[in-house]
Amino acid sequence: MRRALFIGLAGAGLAAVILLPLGLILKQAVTPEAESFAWPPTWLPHAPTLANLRELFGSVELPDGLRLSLLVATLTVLSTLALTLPAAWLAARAPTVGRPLDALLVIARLFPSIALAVPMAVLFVRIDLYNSPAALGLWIAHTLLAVPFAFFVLRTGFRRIPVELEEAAQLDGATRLGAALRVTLPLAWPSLAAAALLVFLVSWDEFAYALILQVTNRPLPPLLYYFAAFGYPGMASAVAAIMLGPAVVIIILLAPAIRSGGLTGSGR
Amino acid sequence: MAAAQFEHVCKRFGDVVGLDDFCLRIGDGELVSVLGPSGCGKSTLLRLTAGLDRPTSGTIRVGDRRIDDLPPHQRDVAMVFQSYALYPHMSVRDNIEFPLRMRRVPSSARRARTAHIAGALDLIPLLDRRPAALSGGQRQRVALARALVREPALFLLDEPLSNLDARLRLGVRHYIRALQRQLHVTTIYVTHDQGEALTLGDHVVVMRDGRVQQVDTPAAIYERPANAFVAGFIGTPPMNLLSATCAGDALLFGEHRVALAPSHSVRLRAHTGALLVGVRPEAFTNGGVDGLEAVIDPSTSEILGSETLVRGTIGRETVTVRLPGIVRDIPRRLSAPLEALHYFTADEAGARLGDP
Repeated sequence: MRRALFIGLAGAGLAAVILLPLGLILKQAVTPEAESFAWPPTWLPHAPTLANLRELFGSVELPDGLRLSLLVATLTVLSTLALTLPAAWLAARAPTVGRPLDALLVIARLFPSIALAVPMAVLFVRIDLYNSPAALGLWIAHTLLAVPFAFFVLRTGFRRIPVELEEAAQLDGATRLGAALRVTLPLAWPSLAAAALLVFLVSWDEFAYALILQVTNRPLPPLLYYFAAFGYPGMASAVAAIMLGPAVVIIILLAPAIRSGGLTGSGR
Repeated sequence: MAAAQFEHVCKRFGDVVGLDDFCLRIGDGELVSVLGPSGCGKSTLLRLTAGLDRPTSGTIRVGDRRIDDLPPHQRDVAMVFQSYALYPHMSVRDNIEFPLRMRRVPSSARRARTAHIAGALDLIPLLDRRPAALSGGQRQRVALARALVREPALFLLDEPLSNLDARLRLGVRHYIRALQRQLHVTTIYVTHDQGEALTLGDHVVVMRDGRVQQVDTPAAIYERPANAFVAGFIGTPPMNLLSATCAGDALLFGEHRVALAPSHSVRLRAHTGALLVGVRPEAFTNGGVDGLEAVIDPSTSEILGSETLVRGTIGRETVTVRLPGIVRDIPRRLSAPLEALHYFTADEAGARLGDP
């Protein structure tokens, strides 16, 4: 009884910690800009309004920013998976390849992106990728950022799939690659989904590269920053509320795949 | 269906020798069991034959084709893995059809062959299930069906019974043998269980530390072990191996002296000095024969129903004795006839001595 109460309280506390910021974002998004600066601050808007959202959608920046963020995140998912899928499979199956690759990718994560963004911007100015309308430079930067995350998720996923399944497929007449494609890849679907989700969110939320590499064609995070920095907390919160959308949708879509136990039945 | 031939096959992993100068001929349709303790090289042998590893040197032929430099999918060798390795995302039917799909067998022929092998292995009612919904024994039959459906030239089994519970094991053993005979498929059966190896194999290969110790029929492995290792490995309980000295016309077990018949002393004449004397636990009788006599300690008796085990001494050496049936009144002295003795050199090789 007491234990149930404790678990209930802990759960409620955890939910509050997670939900409170979400609540604040949504509250701020429907609060008139004037009321935002009222003192003492209000818990609920006195005069809720959709003006912030209306104004946001009326502007050029939001539809362009939304389109750009979606484009960069989607392209980043595709390029990152294309790069890491073969590498992670190889690393899972051949430890001699895997160990140096592990070390390399951990080292790659040691540099803060804000420190890399400036030299990268200089490079992109030279090769004409700086502030590109389709955010090609940002796409490259996000891919580099996301590769280690996807690699470790996928490699762990591949390691969980017994190598005997691939060996059996080779004896059954498949080439080494054919065995990986026909047997391992379908079984790796849950980790593939998890990696895709993670990479999408890495790109979708990324701020430092987006701020520095794109000046006029801005994806959503720097857009939000500009609204906040120039004194429009309501507009900034409206952008934040919009940014929550894809994350929620993706998590709901992919949750069953990530939870599934696709490996039962292969062995004894 | 083909004969298989291994010529001087070696496999080294760095400094570790996995398989050393392995030579073997397997006749068409024959079942050879490979027996040995873990780490003896039997799994290495299977992986080299399957193409999952490449030999360091030597050749492997199946039929008139040299296969040791081919990738696994070109070898026409099928294998049942110890873990079965069924594809969990495919139905039983798709698992069995997989090797046929890979070989681009037309769909009508594919259906017919799958139905045939599934019928032979009682799998028809299970064809639409996933492996996760099957019992251990059923998964094992699916693994057999998947390996046999394409009628491979050579069939490999890696400890296929080790994951089944003891009750099922005996049944599946008979089943595998009957199926192998019926399909007349050349087979290598790897196991650490001598019961399986001796009952299933047309020939048995006993291995240790990557080296072949003996290749023979099951009866010959039991009756004439080639060295002390095989003698001490085969039999339940295994053969007693006693240190002794040969002094011309007698064997000395410490102070204890056993006179040799003239025929024996002639056979052992060249080996005067230290040697190992082997005697099977079941060689001892109460018949008062002239031979190797053991002093029995009746308090050590273990009654197993079909047999009774008891310990005794010969000189300073301890022996295990096996008497048939339940024996309540254990004799104080039991002896084994001299003809039942095996002789091995006392060195590490333990080579068999003194056969006429």
